[in-house]
Amino acid sequence: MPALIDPPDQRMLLDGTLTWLRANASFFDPPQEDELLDVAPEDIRPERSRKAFGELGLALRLAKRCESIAEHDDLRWLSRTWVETARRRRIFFDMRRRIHLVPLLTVACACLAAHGHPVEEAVASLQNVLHRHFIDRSESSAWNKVDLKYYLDLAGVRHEFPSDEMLARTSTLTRLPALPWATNYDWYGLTHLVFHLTDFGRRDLAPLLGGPVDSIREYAGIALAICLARQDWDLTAELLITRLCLGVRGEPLDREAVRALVENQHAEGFMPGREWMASAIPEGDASARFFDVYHPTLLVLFLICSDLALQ
Amino acid sequence: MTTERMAARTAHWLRNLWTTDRPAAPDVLHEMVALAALCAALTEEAEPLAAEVTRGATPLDFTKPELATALVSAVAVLRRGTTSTSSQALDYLQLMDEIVPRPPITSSDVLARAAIDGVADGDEECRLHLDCAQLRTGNENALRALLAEIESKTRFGTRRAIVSEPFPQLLEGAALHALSRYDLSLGMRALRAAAYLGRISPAGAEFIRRAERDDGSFGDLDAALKKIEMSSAPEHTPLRLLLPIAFQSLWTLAELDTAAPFGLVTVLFGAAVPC
Repeated sequence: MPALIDPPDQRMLLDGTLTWLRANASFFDPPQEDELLDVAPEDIRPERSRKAFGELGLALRLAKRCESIAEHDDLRWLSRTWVETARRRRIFFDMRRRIHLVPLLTVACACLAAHGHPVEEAVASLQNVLHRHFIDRSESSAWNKVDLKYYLDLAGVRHEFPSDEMLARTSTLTRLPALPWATNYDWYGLTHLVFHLTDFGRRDLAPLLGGPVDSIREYAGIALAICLARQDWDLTAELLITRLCLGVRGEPLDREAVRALVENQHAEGFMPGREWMASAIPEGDASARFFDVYHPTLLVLFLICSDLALQ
Repeated sequence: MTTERMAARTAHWLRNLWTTDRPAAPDVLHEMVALAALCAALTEEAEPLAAEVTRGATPLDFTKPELATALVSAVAVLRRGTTSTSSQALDYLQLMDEIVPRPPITSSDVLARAAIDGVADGDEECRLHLDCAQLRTGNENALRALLAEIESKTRFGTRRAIVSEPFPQLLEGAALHALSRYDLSLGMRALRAAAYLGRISPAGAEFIRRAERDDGSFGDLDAALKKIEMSSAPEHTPLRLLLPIAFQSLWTLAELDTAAPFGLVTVLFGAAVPC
């Protein structure tokens, strides 16, 4: 299949993204997990620094699967730094009691394994937690279950989540919320369900749903057009990747969305987030800027990797 | 519910207004006439109301309301009004005939010329070169300029438009974005413009249908109406808000109705007026 992103645009987006990620690597830094805290482990929440670190790991895992960019110097440096940080911060410390960190730590297992690092001990701990029969039995949306199930499967952890067919058919994919009233949350639900149920485009969604996915493609297209009008580059990238995963490739709308991302990539290489676009970031607040822009910037890397992987 | 049925419900609401609120609303007579004419164009059931409102709406000053309302009400009065109001409407249209350029330049010119000269049946087409990037600037003025260009070049949908993808799809996105922010006027205008380019938005039509109120008017406007109630400015009346929204809602639904193709300027203006 032809590439969605033309080579010159891909080079510009990739170089800018990796330059910015490398320059801001110090922000992707979770807490020192083996520091003793005056808080019950069961009450420790993921919080944004852990999420940013985990999401960088995911992006690097996907990049690792793309031969044509996997050897990029900045990518190798970022991967090495990410693995070192995971070890130095002892991210799996006390993980059997830190139940709210289970999803992120499952992702971390998958990321470390992708980089060839042993995770047997962490996987065994995860398995122990799953055997306690609450993680896969608690009330949560199909979206949350599909996300966690995907990474548990990658890590080889046994669980009792329903099948992908069952989760797909009870998810919002079968009854998408009407576009004018749909929220960002709804659209992140759509994109994550598609990412994981299709294994980032490697698997056909139609058999899971028991019917064609044309209406989901069309829905994601209109949502994409709305996000372009809103200048929401985070969801623009998410929906572009979603359409790639659903087999849409190089349609005029998607090419226009790529043009929007290319034109809006900041000179430093990051992709502006919602706060940045609303000029709501206090002058000189590097941390606020980082947490606004890192996610759309990582999504650009996701997009490039998805485009390369599905060609 | 069909557009015809919704027009009948709106006509019912308008009849109640006409019966009970007319004395208190001399400043919205044009809006009432225009809405009655639109309802009658969409459902025969509303024709008696349109005739009654058009004949009873007096005094009228066509220079006061916004252009579309003035033109629609003037043509309606010419068709259904009394001798004296028809003469006022004709004076207004003759004045417009003198000042509006021929051929028309802006979308307002196009609307005015359509009302004065009528709209001929034809199979004309127009090619539009529209810049997709303008739809992702976040600039409402840029969007309004594009909408005016589409209205003008397509003669409000009476010329078949040739336009490159993905512009119509992006325009639908901009329209839904405006509706989701509850900018009804901009959102509905953008939906109509997308329809002129051949892009009908089922999601947009559904939004408008769901905005219908129990009484047949349109809009989830409790807070806006409360503000008007609390305002001391005499020109702020609920009907100044409700009547134009009802007109635009029905107009937009009609333009988006694939089962019964419409075209406001064709249906409401039709033949030339004897200027």
